[in-house]
Amino acid sequence: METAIALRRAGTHGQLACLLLPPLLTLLILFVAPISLMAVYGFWAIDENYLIQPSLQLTQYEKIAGDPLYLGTLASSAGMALLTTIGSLALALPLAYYIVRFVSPRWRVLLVLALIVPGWVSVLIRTYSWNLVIGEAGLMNWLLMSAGVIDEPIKLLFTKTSVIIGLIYIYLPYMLVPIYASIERLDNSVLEAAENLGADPFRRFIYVTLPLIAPGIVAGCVITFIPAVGEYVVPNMLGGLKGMMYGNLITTAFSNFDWPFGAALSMVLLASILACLLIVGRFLDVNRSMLGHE
Amino acid sequence: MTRWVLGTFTLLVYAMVYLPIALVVITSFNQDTITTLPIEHLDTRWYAELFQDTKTLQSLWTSLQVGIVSTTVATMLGLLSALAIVRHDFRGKSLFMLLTVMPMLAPGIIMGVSLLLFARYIGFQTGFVAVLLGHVLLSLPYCTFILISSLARFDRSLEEAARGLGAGELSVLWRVTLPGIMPGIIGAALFAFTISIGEFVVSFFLTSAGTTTLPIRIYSIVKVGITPEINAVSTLILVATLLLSATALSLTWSKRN
Repeated sequence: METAIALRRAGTHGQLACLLLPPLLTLLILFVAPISLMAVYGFWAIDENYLIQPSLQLTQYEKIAGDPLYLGTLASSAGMALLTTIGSLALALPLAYYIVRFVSPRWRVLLVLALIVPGWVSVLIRTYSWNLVIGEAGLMNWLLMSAGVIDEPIKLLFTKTSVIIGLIYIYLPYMLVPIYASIERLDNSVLEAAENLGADPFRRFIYVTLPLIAPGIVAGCVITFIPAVGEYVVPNMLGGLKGMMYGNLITTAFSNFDWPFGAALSMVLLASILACLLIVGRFLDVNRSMLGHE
Repeated sequence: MTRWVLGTFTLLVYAMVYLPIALVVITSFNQDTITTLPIEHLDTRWYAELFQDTKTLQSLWTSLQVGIVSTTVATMLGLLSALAIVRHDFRGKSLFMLLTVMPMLAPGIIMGVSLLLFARYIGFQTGFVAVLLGHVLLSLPYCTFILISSLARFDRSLEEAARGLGAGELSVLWRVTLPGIMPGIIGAALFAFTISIGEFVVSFFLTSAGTTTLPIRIYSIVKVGITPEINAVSTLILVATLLLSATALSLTWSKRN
């Protein structure tokens, strides 16, 4: 009997090892090892012949701390990501609320999908498509000039504003999904109880709905803000010099073959993202709100 | 009152989401060389030019190859992870799940750059295989989580029944479990393929001169100057993505509803 149990246990252990090893090794080799190596690279230096000097030193980090360009760009990227987060929240919240409250369950899923599915089209194409809307010869200027509102085309492209518009467009689905899910889970009887007790729609929203959907809102904000800070494609295609973000600095360092410096810049970004996650995680159980009920 | 205000707002957001995409499609039929409005003549000239452009066609072929192989690998790895997570309790399970989600959260640029450093450090050539491995890493989290949810919804009593009738573990997996979650597997694969076909940043750091994927080709054309040919390529990718994701969705959602 005991041997049977032991055999069975050895069997499930062997089974588990077979299941776990391939994906675990993949993640270790393709994710953990490269990022660990990059952490080490950040403490190395290159000499005047662009040869790597593998000796531990803080030169790269001193360089980052010494020039306001680097941390300044990080701060402005964070600011742009914050505006993106607020913008997509402002779009997603009323929209999700409308769909849950006023659309029949049959159509709800289709309406939400209609917003998510375009999000699977290549980021490159969706970003580029805004050229056709806000570019100098784009739809917006054409409409405004034909209507006689303006005489000269508005130069919106290649500014911070155009980058933020692009970012909101790209990240809207990220914000929408957790918010929609949390509003849909909302228990209607709670709202009815509030109504019976005399709360008007505004008070019901502020005091009942908002606290109940807060985890969804936080999850949406986190998964919008984090990738937006490190975004590279959108600022590169819509930003020009004025709308540069931190990702552009990293790429520049790498295209100048200054790998230790690029690595240090990347580590600063990664550390800032982790810090944000820890701060948010202190206030809310992110795992829970992101991965559903469990 | 609230209903109409919110409804109008919702309509505007939909317009914002579809307007740029619609413009890409419309301008792809513009006969003129410069993409300006208003459009005077419509024809399929740019599609004809596209099919003459060997560089773009070559990059499409590369993208398809990378997509098919990375999708197969990522789906299989995702299935293994999902089986381990749903069917077993083990020490470090939540750590393993965290590790699985992380590539989804880390900025693409960090993954691209660190993979480049790592490849060069161990003396691995960038190019086709490197791009492919990058795509496996990016789609693995999505495959894993789609398959976790299909496995969690799968009725395990069917497996018990098969075991009761004398089927071995592998036979249960092959004949009962896998057919049972097939819609989820196909859905995960289509999702991975969609990611691979559209992916840009990671590929950007891992390509070599010989392996240009379609998004990288598009990027290089856009950087030189926008031609309506780009709108034609984009329209084709758009249609393909929408079809793929619609299929993926109908397969993964059919059981739930």
